[in-house]
Amino acid sequence: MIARASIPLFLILTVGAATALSAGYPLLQAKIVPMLVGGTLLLLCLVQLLGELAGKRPARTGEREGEPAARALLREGLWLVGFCAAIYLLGFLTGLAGYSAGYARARGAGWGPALGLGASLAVLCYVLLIRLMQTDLYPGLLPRALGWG
Amino acid sequence: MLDAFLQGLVHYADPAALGFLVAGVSIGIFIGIVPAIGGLTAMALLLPLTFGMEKVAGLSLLMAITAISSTGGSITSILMNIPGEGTSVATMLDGFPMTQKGEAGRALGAMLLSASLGSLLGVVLGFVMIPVVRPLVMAMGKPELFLVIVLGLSLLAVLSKEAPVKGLISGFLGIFISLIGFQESTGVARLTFGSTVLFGKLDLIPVTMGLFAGAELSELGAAGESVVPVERVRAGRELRRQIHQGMRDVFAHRWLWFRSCVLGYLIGVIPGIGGGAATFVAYGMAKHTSRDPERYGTGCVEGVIAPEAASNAKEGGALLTTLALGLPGSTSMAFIIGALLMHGIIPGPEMLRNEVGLAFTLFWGLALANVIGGALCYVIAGYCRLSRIVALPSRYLVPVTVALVLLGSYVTNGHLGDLVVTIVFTGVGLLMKRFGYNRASLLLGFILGLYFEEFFWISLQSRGALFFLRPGCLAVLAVMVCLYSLEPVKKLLARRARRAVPA
Repeated sequence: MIARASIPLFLILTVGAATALSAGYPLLQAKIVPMLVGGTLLLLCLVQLLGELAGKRPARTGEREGEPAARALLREGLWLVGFCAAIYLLGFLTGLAGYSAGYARARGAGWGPALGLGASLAVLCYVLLIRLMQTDLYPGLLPRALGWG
Repeated sequence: MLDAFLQGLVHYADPAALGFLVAGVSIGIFIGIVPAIGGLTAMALLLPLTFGMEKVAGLSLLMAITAISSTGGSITSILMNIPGEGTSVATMLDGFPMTQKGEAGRALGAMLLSASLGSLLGVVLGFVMIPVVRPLVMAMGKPELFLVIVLGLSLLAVLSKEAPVKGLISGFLGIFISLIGFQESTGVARLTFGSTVLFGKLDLIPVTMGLFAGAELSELGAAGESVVPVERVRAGRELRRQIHQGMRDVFAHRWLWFRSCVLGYLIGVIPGIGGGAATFVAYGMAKHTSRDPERYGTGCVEGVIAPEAASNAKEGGALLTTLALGLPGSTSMAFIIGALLMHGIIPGPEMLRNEVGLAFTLFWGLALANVIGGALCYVIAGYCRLSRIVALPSRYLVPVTVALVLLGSYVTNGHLGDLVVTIVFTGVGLLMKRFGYNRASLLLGFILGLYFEEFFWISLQSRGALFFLRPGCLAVLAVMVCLYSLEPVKKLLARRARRAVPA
């Protein structure tokens, strides 16, 4: 019950703060819609919170049951954050190759397939996005500092 | 008129024009399937190339990409829960659960036929509606558009009938999120907290990618399994049998398909409302009018047929507005206008007088691209074992798709901040899924919220507080009243009929 109530409670706090912030905008045209939408949202969250605290179990919305454990999801989240950090530091191509090879290897793939996956993704990305589509991919902080980007 | 109609088709007897149309279809399918490249990016890159080409060939290339990239995008929506295009998001809601149930072929078949026939109907309506489009579009001012947006927002409650409060919370949260950023009309940066990423408003693609694809991939990686166990993946004849069954489903639900097409077409005719809105409105309407609305979201074929029909029929309406009035009916149509201008043709009423043959050529191009694209997608889905991708072990599938998702988010605007947005919305998507909040409602709120405020203020300032009393507004309000009174009236009549029958 506490876990379910935490979502409306969190929304009440954040949306409440944001709505209060909107009230301080100098022009009516800037603040009226955020205040109306935020106010309605706060009211709905309050109804939901009271429902959760009263112990009612609302029906689920038809999404998949039997989700994986929170710890495993957290691990996946850390991989995602790590991938973004690698992109920021090393650039898209190196970050992409490193992340995909590392992820596959950590999940039990052999060194050969893992490195092959990383290299082929980086090559595909280079040919498709940089050569063919002329897209500018972020070169990375380190390559830039070293004058490679 | 008949001469111009036939002349439009004769243009495609030229191998060069037909060749560029087929090339455009192939590019459209490819960029639709790969989430990192959107149809708009490809059109932006190819637009300058069309300058040196013969006008029919160049326009055919762009028209084919417009026509087919959403169909390609729906393939990844169904198989992997990753929208290749923004218009494919609504298809995911039932398409992916069908894949998880081992019915990927059926979902693909329904998607292909609904989309291809939807586009053809859109073109036919385009031909028929040429004389009436001008008064219709001119009657649709910002007040009417505002009420169409309100009609779309009213579907928030429909999308999550099972938990209406949670559905409304999700929808209003989507609208609230759409308000973040710089408001052009007042010059106020709202709820940005000094962040440059939030200053430019959140983009639809990173939000969608995180909310759906990111959340789904995180769960897939955490479970350490493939999307579908290998024994439930259909291939060869069994897969084609499923595809054919999906195609038959479209005929079985022909009225739903027809209604969705007309709805998508009408939204396409109105400039300024995106394709994402058309698909969600069609999906919401289908659920609202269904006898078993609780089946939606769990993998029912009607949830694939409705958004696909609307998505592709919309292009016929958008093309008509573009050619007849010179107003881009959708973002991709802005590129068609660009290509026409590069060839010295000014779209609008004059084009329909002086270049009516070319106008019909574009309509034929849209129709042919969909027929060729549908056939090509059938071959890819039925014979190239594309659906086996869902049986790949997660250790290979997750890094590849995560890479495509983050690339797709980044390439849209070229901002690294969009990667952060994708990750944040991955977390939001996971929490919403875990606690039973409706992600589709949040997305519908976000998409329509982008227009809601702008249209409201323009209506208020240009027409005054009673702007909703205009005839067009009253017509939209009447549609809304009819829509929501239909079910109670049906129930009342059924109750009376039961009472009338003696026990």
